[in-house]
Amino acid sequence: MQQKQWISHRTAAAAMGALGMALVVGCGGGGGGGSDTPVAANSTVAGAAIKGAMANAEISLYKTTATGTRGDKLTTVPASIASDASGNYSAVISGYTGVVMVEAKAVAGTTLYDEATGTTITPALGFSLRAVTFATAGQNITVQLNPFTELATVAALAKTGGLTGTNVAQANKDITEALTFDPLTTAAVFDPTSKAPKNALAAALTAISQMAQSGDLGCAGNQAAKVACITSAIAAQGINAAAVQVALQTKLDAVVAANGLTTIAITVPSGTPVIESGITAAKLLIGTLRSNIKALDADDMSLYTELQAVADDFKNHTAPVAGTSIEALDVARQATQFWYDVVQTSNAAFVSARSFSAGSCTLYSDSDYLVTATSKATAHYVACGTLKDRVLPANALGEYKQCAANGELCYSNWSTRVRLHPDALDSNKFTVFTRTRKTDRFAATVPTNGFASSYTDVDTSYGAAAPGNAASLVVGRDSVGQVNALALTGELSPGFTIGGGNVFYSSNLNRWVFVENVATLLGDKENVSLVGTLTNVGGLYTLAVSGSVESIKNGALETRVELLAGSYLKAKEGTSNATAQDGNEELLLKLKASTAGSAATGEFKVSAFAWDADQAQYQPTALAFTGSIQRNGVNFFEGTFTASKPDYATFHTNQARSATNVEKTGANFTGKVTITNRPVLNLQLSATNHDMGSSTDTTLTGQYAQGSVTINIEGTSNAASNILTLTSTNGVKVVVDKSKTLYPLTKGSTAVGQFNSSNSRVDYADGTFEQY
Amino acid sequence: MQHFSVRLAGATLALIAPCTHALDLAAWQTQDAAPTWKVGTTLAEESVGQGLPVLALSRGDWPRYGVDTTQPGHAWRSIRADVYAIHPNGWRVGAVLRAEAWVQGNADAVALATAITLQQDPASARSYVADTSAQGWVGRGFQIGTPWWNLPATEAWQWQADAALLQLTQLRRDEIKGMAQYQNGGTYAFDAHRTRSNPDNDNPFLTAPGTTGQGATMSLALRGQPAAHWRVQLRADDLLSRLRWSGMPTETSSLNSNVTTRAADGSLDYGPAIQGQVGLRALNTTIGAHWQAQAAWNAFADTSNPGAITLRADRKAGITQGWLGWDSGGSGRWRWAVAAEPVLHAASLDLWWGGLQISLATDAKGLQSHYRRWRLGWEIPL
Repeated sequence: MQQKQWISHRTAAAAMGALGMALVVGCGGGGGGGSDTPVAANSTVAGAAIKGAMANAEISLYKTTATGTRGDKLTTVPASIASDASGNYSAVISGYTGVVMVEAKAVAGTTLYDEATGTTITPALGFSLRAVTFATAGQNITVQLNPFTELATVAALAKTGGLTGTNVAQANKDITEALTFDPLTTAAVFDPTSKAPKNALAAALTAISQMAQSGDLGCAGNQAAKVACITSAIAAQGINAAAVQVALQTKLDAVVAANGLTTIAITVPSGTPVIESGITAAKLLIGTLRSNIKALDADDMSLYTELQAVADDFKNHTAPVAGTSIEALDVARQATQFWYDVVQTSNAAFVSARSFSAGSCTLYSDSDYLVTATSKATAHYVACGTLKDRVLPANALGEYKQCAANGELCYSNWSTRVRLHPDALDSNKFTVFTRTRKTDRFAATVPTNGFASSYTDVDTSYGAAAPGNAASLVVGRDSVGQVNALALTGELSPGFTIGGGNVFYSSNLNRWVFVENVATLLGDKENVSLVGTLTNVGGLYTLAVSGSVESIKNGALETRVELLAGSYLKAKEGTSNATAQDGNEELLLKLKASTAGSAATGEFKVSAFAWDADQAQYQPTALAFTGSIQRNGVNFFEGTFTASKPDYATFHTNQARSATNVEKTGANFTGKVTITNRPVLNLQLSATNHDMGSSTDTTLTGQYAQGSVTINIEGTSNAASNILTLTSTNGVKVVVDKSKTLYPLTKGSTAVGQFNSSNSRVDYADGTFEQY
Repeated sequence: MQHFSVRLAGATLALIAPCTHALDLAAWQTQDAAPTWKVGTTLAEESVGQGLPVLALSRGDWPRYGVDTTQPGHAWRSIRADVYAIHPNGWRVGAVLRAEAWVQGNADAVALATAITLQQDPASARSYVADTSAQGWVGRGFQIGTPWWNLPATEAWQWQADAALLQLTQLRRDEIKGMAQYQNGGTYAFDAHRTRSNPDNDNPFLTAPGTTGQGATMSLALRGQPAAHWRVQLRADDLLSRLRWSGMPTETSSLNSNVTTRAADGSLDYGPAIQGQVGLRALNTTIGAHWQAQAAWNAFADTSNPGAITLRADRKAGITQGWLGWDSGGSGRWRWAVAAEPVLHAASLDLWWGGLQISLATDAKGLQSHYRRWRLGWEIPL
């Protein structure tokens, strides 16, 4: 073992089992892989560029694209390849399996021996000879480059699908049948001294040279130009075009006669479709699936790893836009409105307090918020609080622990205290102070069922010292004094989350365990810079927001979310009046969120609000995200994800799901996935789910393309069947029927292999197998 | 099963030498010459392990039942049934049903299998160079045994041969060799190769695999009286043997944890950890000789007390045993023999009552046992 790659303990056990250890370790299955230092499966690609010998030509090797065109250049050893004086070339590629295009291109210094004139000519820059064939990693191949391989290349490109393995094989087969020899693998042999042709290919190339000299096919100019013209004309018209066939056959007959060679009769190809080895195609399909699946599961570098890293990044970093911070902002807005409505509106009646859905506010006379204002003149400050989130005490298991005696904690209230200090000079300007507060409530009387009739409260505040983190808030108002614009710059006290509760069955306790929520403080503070405008058109309010929110933790920037211009929320007042909700509500966030290692950029849109058939629930029926997720500065996931609830208006949420009351959902993804060290995966998936209560009917269709492989996906899952069908564009199909353990691999009606899910083994019809 | 009689200082002792595996070579049986046909039947099982708990190997946690990871491991099991007839002149013919399996592995193979089976990783990184093989077969057929014939120019030494032709209903062989490296963190690297032959391979693309095989085996024995009151026997069961299965589904495969290759564009391709080829081949193998040497010394040298001290050395499938015992001898209907194996800490008891024989041997360790043998035999004159 020259290089080591490590597989997990679990995998090792499975692998040992699969390898038998016979009576020693019993049965098992499976295998796995990871990677440390990969080894390359080298292939030598060699041949000659001959029309006659094309010396000093630039040789390039290309892979193909998913759409069957010439793809990226393959890395070769040596990196730069030039043909020698005889046109010969050789290059090594590593680990590539698929269609390869080889091209010899005339560059400065390239010369071409012309058999007809016996001279060395200089082809025009860019003159090229190409060939296409199929390369298999680890296997050496011969690729000759001549006008006939150029013809086959043009023919393959012209076929539907372009340079697929089947088209390439078909084009090479056709030219071989027409010429009665294979110009792709046959080396042209010329007499080293006289340059006279010594085999069929050499004779055919000499004939082409003579066609050029004769000006056949309308070619004119000097010999170099005519050679290029003839080459292009043959490739474009095809060898069975009457003009080409007659001219070539005439010259060919003369050449073979003059050189004592066997007669070559150009024939019409049989046209019999080439049948790509079903087994080869099946191995290509399985190999693609295997690599991607392993990449998803590999421990070292994988999509899963990347996704997990991003998830961990965002999970472990403080969310900068916590719900509690949004609530605090809303309370601040309401506070400005309260101030305006009561203090700044001259004819308004004085009230010292106001409650609203997000919290409540009170006017005070002193900056310690101890003396409640009794008139507009004595109202100097607004002190507010968000609604309190209650967290119940828990025992060591996390379960609710009732307070049962004096002095025991009964519950804790979490809230954000919001204080507005109006600016002395600008009536629309405020300083907003926020503090995050936890109030622990201890029983002051003997509690009953966990609740006391009176409590002793102990407050703990988070964020800056009193009065709190400061931010500048400037509001704009419409003609009736309603806030229609705001700009907030400064700091907010840290947000918090309430969550983590769950339910699980404990086999040790032999009962269900109900774990209570806990409160989590998010960082030290938040830096905000937000501007927003609120417009009302026909009762539809549009809040346009932009700016940024940063989470500061331990004194350092941890997470930043940027709302780009164009983000908005459209909503109408009223929550239960069906006529008031007309489906025009919409949320569009143009986001850019980032941590030190991960970033997400894109547009998140929620729209198509609709009522169900019972007019009981009003919710969005369309959700879309278009954007990208980056890891360490590299996009690894980008595209568009959409989800929808079609026919929601006919679904009765107050009734049980049934065959006649079906809840439908759909999801689509179109985009590309870039897995580290894997070719880009272009993915398109569509899924629908029909929930009928006692059963569901799910369909999946899609396609993924990677390199030269394209696989169509089609699946259904319902009470009757659970089948996923994968079909590669080269005709191999695998049907994954979850009710069975053996999944056949077929090409047409021919079985070319099978996958056994019970031991993760693929057997091919040629006797080879692989196991995971 | 063949029987022969040796007169020894007034005592009549019979050395029972089955044609294979000599499950009860330590037994000494009184046997009178019988000028008539005899028929008999035996059913026997023997399991021996060295460094491996032979009776627990089919369990998923077999190493928990006692394994020595510092030395090569061997295990061997045999089940055999015979029905036979013996001509008065000593020729023996019969039908036989045999099933036998063995496994062996070097110390690294045992240690690696133990670590992985129990999911108990080594304390630190280490390498294993594992080499293990196993074979099992089931066959039925007929056998023939010669009488004891004197060696040329001497009557003190005699030889005898057995031969059997078998139709194999099962034959499996498995070999694995390779290297494994444990790296801290619960991961292993493998580079191993395996050849597995198994007629039950259900690969749908195999055409017409063979359904039966053929076997042939020959055993040789030599006995004699090197000195007064001494009797010895040397025996090589299955000395020459051949098991053949035409059209045997055979898999050759490799396990290599180095599954990644880097393509020209820099991307990684993940190959399968296990890949191989299955095809039909002819499998030729042997049973493996079972060597036995035993001696009996008539301790009292008189006819009134025919008891004898017995010594037996036994080697099969790489496992060597040494038994020291006492045989009551005698010509009555009852006879008994006991023996002990000091290394295996095993003891045996053989009882004869007329034509009935019961033989038991064990180290009494249950599933941790390294040795167990039982045999039932019944033989009557016609």
